[in-house]
Amino acid sequence: MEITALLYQFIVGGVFFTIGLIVPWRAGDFSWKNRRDRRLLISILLACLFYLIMQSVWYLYAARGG
Amino acid sequence: MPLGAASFAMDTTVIGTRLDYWVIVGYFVLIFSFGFYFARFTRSTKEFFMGGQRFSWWLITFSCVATVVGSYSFIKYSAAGFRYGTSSTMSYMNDWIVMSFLLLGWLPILYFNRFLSVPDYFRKRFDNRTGVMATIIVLMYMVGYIGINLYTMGVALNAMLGTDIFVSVVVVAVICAVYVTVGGQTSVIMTDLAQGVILLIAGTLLFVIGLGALGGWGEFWSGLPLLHRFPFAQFNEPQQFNFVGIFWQDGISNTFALYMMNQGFILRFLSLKSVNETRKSFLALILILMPLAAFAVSNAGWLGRSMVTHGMLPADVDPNGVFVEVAGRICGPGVFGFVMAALTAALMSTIDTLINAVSAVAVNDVYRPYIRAGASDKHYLGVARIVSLAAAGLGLILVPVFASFNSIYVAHGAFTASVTPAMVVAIVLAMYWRRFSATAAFWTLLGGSILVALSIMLPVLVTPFSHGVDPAGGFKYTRALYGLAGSGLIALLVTLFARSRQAGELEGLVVGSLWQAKQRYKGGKPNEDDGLKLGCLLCESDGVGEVSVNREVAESLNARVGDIVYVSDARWWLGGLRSVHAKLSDIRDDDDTTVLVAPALVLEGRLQIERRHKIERII
Repeated sequence: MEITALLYQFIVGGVFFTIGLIVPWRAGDFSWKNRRDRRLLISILLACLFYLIMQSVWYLYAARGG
Repeated sequence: MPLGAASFAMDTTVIGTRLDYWVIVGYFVLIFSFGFYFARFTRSTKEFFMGGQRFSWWLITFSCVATVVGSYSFIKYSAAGFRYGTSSTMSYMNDWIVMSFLLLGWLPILYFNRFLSVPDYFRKRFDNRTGVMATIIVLMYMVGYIGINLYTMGVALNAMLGTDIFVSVVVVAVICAVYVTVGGQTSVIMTDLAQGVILLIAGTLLFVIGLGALGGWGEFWSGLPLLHRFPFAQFNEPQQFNFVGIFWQDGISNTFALYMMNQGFILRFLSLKSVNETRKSFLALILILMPLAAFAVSNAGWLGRSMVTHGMLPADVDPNGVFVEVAGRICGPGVFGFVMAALTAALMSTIDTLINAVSAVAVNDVYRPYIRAGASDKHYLGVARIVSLAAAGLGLILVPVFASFNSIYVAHGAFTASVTPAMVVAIVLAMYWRRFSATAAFWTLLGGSILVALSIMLPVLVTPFSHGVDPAGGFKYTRALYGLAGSGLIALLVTLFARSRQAGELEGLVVGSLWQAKQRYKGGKPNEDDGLKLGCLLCESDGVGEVSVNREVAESLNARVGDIVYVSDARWWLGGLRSVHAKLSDIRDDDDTTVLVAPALVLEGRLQIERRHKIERII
């Protein structure tokens, strides 16, 4: 059905999300070498991934008439 | 998705037994007592506005759920669920977009600089003029919002229980005003914690009972039309509920505004014991509790649609009344009362947060800087309490105004829609773009708001941003994209021609200078090495500056003299209620692992010295 909505959500939303992530990282507030920062970055990325997977699976379940 | 008062004009259907009403009355008594009990933990403005900055992440996360779920959420999202299906969850499931801005930028900047509000931040980041402008916007937005929440709550309770609108509004406003005035943020957090739990349990219980009534998951799912089963609405139709409009208005504009501009949320996150806890709290909120909240407030609508398909509900059921209709039909005596209590929980938890938030802005951004500077904390606490009562009173006065003049209700909606995109752009650029100047911020707020207000009168201005949405609805949702783009353009143009502040003046106030913000917070070089959290015994001692530990404990904590440590009662379920932050003032060379604490800190943290405690290094 409306795959456009799914793509729009994660592409346009993803652009905002990425800007919010990259700018402080590049500005030096966070570092991959710091264990606490690394854990924070991974948590944020996993949270985003969680929504991508959950809503994609939901979409597929609905689309195949499940 | 803002819902006008007219949308609540459903038939008055009084359902429920005497037991249900006793459950609701019992709930009111419980919440009032709960709020009043925790008033004893408030003795300073820091405690009144931020609960003493001592709480654990899980406690704040649950309390946030009750605050997010507004006074009309059950009615509104059940109606959307009934009309459009499971895509009614969209508004709650797009908060992840704001996550990186919040966790890496906004929250650390506010927390480490000890800013209490957006106007406070704008005064330091820009100038007084921009701070005043932000104060006016935030206060108008919040006070009007108290009135709207009280009014919509009165209408909703009238429709459900047949109670008089003004009687129920006065009862709820008085209950909230009393415990907020006495207990401040701690009472708000504790009552909202209870209400968040009740709300989630009731929403889930309703769905489980509904599935049973329908005959299981298969029957429920097959009763939903195909288009009702997707996580997203149709891309750009219908104009009342389409994906792209909700994405820009709710997912971007309102979500950024909720977490960055809503004073209630700012204070809630500042109530946590550390920046690390704010991050944990927000992640848990986004990952677990927001999906649960979306499900809790919407599922009555999905059940209703499936029940219509299976002939268990009439096809002409009023969508705005579907929540009460479904709950009334499937819940037994007492359970219906519990579900209605959950709805009331949603109503009260938004109002108490707003009352406390208005008080914070009025005292910290108006009274303290412009009316009486340099007074004692006790004086400001008294003023904060008076303002809390006044805010509730003002909200009450606005109820008949909103009820009598729909145009005023609409005007507040238009005001909020106008200022939100401009405020969002100003906040994001303030922390992410060093060159963004005071002049640019001022004109972004003013010009951006005017641009959106113009588009309400001339909807054609929004056409280039409408993504093909039918203009018949006046571009109610896609207007947010127009507002964001217009405000962004003004910000860009004015910044190009206005003088920016020197880089040194912005240290700690923008991304890229978080280290300086941490230094400011600590008053020394931050210590971010990994350390352990230890169980310990306390001893009150007059002879120490603040906190003293022996070398063995200091090494386990990885702490040095001057570091900020956090001492809390070891009972996890207190969530930090009995705890205190202190400077590590001394490292001893003896073998005694007892932590020595100054008497003033024992009193401040309400520490029960004979109990077991925990100690950890914060920074």
